Amino acid sequence: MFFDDSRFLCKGVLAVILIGLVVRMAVGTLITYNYDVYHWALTISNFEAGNGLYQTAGYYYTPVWGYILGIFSRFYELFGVDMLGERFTDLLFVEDVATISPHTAFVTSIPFNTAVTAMMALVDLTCAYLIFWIVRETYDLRKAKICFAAWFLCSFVIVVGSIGGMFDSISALMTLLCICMLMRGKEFLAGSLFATAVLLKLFPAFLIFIFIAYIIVKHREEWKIRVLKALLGAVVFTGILMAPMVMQGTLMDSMSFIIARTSSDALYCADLVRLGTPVAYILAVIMAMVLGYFFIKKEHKNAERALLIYSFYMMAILFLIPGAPQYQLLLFPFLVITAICVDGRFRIPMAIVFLLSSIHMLSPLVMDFVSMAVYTDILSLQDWTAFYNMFDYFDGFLNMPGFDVWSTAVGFLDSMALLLVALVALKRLITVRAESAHDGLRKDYD
Amino acid sequence: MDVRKDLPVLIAVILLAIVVAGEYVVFTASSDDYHSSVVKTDGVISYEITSAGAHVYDLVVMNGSADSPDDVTVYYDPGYASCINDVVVAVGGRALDQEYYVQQMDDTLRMRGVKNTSVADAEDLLALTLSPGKGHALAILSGSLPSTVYDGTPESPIFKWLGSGGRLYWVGNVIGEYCSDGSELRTIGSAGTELFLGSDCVDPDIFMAYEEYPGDSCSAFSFQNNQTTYSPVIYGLSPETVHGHFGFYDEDRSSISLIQYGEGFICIVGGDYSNFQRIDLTQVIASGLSPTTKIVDVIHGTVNGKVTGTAKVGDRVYIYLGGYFPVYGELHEVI
Repeated sequence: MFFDDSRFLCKGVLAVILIGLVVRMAVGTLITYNYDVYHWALTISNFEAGNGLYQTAGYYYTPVWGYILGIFSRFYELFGVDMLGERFTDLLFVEDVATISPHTAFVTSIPFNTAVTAMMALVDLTCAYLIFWIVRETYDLRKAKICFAAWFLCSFVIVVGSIGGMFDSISALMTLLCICMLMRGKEFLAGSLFATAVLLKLFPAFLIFIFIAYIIVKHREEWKIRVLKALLGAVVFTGILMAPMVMQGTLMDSMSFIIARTSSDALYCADLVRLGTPVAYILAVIMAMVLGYFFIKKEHKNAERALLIYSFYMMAILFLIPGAPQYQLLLFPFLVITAICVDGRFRIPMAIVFLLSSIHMLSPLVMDFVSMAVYTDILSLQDWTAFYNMFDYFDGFLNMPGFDVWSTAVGFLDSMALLLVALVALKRLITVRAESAHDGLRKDYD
Repeated sequence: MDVRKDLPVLIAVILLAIVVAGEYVVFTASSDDYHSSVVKTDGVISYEITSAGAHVYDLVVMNGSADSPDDVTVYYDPGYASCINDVVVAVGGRALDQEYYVQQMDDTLRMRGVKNTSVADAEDLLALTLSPGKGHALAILSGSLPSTVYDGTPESPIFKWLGSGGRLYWVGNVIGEYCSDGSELRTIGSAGTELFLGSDCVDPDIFMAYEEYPGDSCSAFSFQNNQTTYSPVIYGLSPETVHGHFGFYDEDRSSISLIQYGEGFICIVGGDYSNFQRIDLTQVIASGLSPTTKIVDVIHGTVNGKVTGTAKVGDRVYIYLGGYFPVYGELHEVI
């Protein structure tokens, strides 16, 4: 009844927006994982010095996030944010600890952290709206509002953007927009967004076969021209976004993330993962093709619902491959929609994933509070150092610092939660197929 | 337009426009967007700084420092052996090898107002060291010198060049310990170090510093590298040698050591390769730090557009913007 109003901006939604924004700004301003946010500041200073994104070290992704930082820098400078961060001699000791998630004596300033948080909050809110839009178009208004709330108040979404300062929610935003464009029949824009999303983070690329399958299923008569339009959009935007790197001769630097980012070292069993990662990703590509094939072969009562559930299956499979916790954010829009609109059996696994992925993302723990220690009186540096020694750098076992033990343990539990989601998805697939066989019907997966 | 249906289309267009506009910002930004000037009037230095956006600035007034070098030559010759250690870089980052370090030196120096940089191989280096050293800077990132300029004897051309006023900036290994005969690395040993520093005062073990060297140079120049490996032990240097120390301090050695050699000097920036080291190395070169530099005044401030102010008088003033995230630097001679 909280969301029963027929308008989008009902009291319930307004309350969700208010709570989500207040929590984000309060948390993100004071609690920040500095290692990544420091690199955003470094990237900005590199290009402001006239060195583009790759001429001097500091930026290790494909260019799109750098471009977004370009506009971001103009906005925060308008508000007079001039000090991005400092290096603290009293914190140099944290850099000695060789951990799977590095620590730094650089601490980004609170105004800069606030600016990053504000940008990410806006992105999260836009994502929430797009989830609402998609669910309203495919299911109903009430479910759309519940999905909106589930995303915007999800602890993991808050932690990734506001504390981690990571841009995975922008990747999710572009992917969701791509889906919206496909649903609206705007294939050129969909292709442009898809290329931009892939050049931001690789993971949306695994949805390509499902997106093409959707166009084929939706437009059986004229799918070729529509796929061509999407391809044209993708090619044009890839050209626009990559042209400077081609001209500067830094194209290979800009693509280095594709190997390194998909072979994350932020994992337990790191050697096993490094060896197995290429194989796992090849299997994921095969699985994407198989799902695309099934999507095309089946008749669908509602192609949009099928698009969402197939995308969910793909993401559930993809993020079984262990990686940095923020990567799995792309699963969350599809998980939320599936759990709330499609199958209630996903709700408990979803809640478990929300919780464990948040804890996994927060595994740097004491390092997240260092801004508070050096820039405010809320926490003294002495107390912070005591906490650091107690939680992050206690003597672990197997020659691992305490931080690594903790991070590995929560990473393992997070992976188990994702496995649980994938197993429920598998069970659902089998159940639907069995029911189809029993009924002698071509029962839809959606 | 049906707003209810088409709002995502509008969002998509805006988002793509933001990305393209950001691309424009990234590739049109330039260190030419910043400017500074100083003039001595009525017993004070008046300065003016302009910035295209909001930045912190630091102004360091010095006495006894060197002028901006006429040119900076970075030695790189893949045909000659190097003696440096591999280092770990961030996930996704390009390996920080000698080639990449050399490439970045030009960009990092140019942003600090040092425009005349070049890369020299072993033969070019010989030609350089056979000419007078005054006003010229040479950065050696290879951990060993080619035998064309240094063979472990005092007659090696590098010493004459140094004595005539050359500035040698050194990173990567123990100075003088090795030389390269083509692809062969030859160990000279501690006798080589003595030729450069006057005594065998470099311990090749790994050292890190957790304090700042007295004198506030860390804060004044936003130094970042706290490795002191390959730096000379301060009390091991001959008392007759003029030497200055900056950066971080491990109670025996500093992260940045400057040692007088004839009319020139040697600068050692400690540790194995790192981006922090590169940033400090270029800051030292651009700011004209020398063994006799004394910091007279330091002013920290913010600028968004234009700012003016005054500082105490000294020989030279180094102004840089961005603090630990530098976007511009320039050394001014006070006239």
